[in-house]
Amino acid sequence: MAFLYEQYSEAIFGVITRIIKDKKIAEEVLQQCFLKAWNKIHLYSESKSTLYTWLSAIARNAAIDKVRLKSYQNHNKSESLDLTVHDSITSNTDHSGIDTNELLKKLDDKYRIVLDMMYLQGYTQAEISKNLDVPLGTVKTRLKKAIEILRENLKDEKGLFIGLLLTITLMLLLCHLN
Amino acid sequence: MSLKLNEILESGLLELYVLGQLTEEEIKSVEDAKLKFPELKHEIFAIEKAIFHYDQQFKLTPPSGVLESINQQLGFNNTTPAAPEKASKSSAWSIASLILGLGLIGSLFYAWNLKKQSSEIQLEQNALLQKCEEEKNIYNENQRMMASALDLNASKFLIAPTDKYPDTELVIYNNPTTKKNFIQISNLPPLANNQSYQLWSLKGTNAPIPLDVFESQDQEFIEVSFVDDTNAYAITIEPRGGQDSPTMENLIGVFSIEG
Repeated sequence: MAFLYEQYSEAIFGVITRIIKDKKIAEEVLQQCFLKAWNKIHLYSESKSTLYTWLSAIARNAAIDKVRLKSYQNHNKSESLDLTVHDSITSNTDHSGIDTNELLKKLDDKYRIVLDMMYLQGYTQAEISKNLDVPLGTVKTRLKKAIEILRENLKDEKGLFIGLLLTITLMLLLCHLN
Repeated sequence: MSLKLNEILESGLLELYVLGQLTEEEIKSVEDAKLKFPELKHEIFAIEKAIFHYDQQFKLTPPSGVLESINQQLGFNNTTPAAPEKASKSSAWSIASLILGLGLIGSLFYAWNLKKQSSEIQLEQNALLQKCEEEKNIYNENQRMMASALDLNASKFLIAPTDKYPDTELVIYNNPTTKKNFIQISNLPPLANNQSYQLWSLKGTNAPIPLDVFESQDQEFIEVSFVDDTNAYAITIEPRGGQDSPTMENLIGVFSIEG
């Protein structure tokens, strides 16, 4: 459990806090998520998804269920599910209040909105189309484009990392020769 | 639904699959397609990695104490990993530092490449631990049932199979003191998908009393209902879920409970 937690708790907590703004409740959902994952680990099939995808689905479902509870909505009167979506998809700052990084700058709002509505709030494509008042085909295209941008960025970062390693190696060699 | 590789890649189905937005039927079609086109596995993995990468941009350290609380609820001892030791400071540039530096870079690169593999191995280990725990529970439960069945007050009765199912081998351990019955399964006729086994209590000329319904042939030992003053217990094959009255043409056999 410690390993599982160390590997994924930060990313999972990030997912939950993008859905639930109340940190105390988000913390409870995080606990529930890892307890459920541990107790249901026999249901996980690595041929179907990575462990992170499976954990993230558990976390998102638990968080969305929590937000939809009447007791939660009463407790957080100013924050309905829709407002949370709006907040999550229009914010330009990360959790530390610092400007978002390069990836989020590359991911235009129109793509991020669709991705977040589906990924964080569980909206179907048809619901997103209705909510945003755009054709269903546009929703599909934007979702695909959002994922493409994330994948491209991942490739760029990999290239950057290898480049950085080569530069450090070269510098070390030069220092040594001098 | 059978799709071509390009159709699947272009359709956006894979993205929806990873985001958990597909119906059961659509999930099945993607999983069938994965078997047919192994390259889809890489494509799905790439989408999953991209989403993980996206979530990493928002990662947030949970408050301390959450892991301890989880471990406590699971009944584990708290295990705080030891703090990593600080690297020693090198005094000057030297061949040793160059070798160390290069070694470190090599290790980092290697570790970076293997990170995802290590998490998968860990997962497998977790799944195995969970399976071990389940097996242990099944074993303990069987031990408990065995002890109860082999109690001195229990009587053992063999099934008298009907001509239709002559190979059936079942034993019932009947204990009127504890009012418990256990059935030991050695051989049962196979079931169709929509069928179950059902146990009946027979008392004189009264209508058979419907009792337990079960399907598993894997469990060697199962506890079943005990009914006072039963003369015999019978087993039949019924539509899944059981019925209120037995299908006599599917009678597997009868245990006569003597004196």
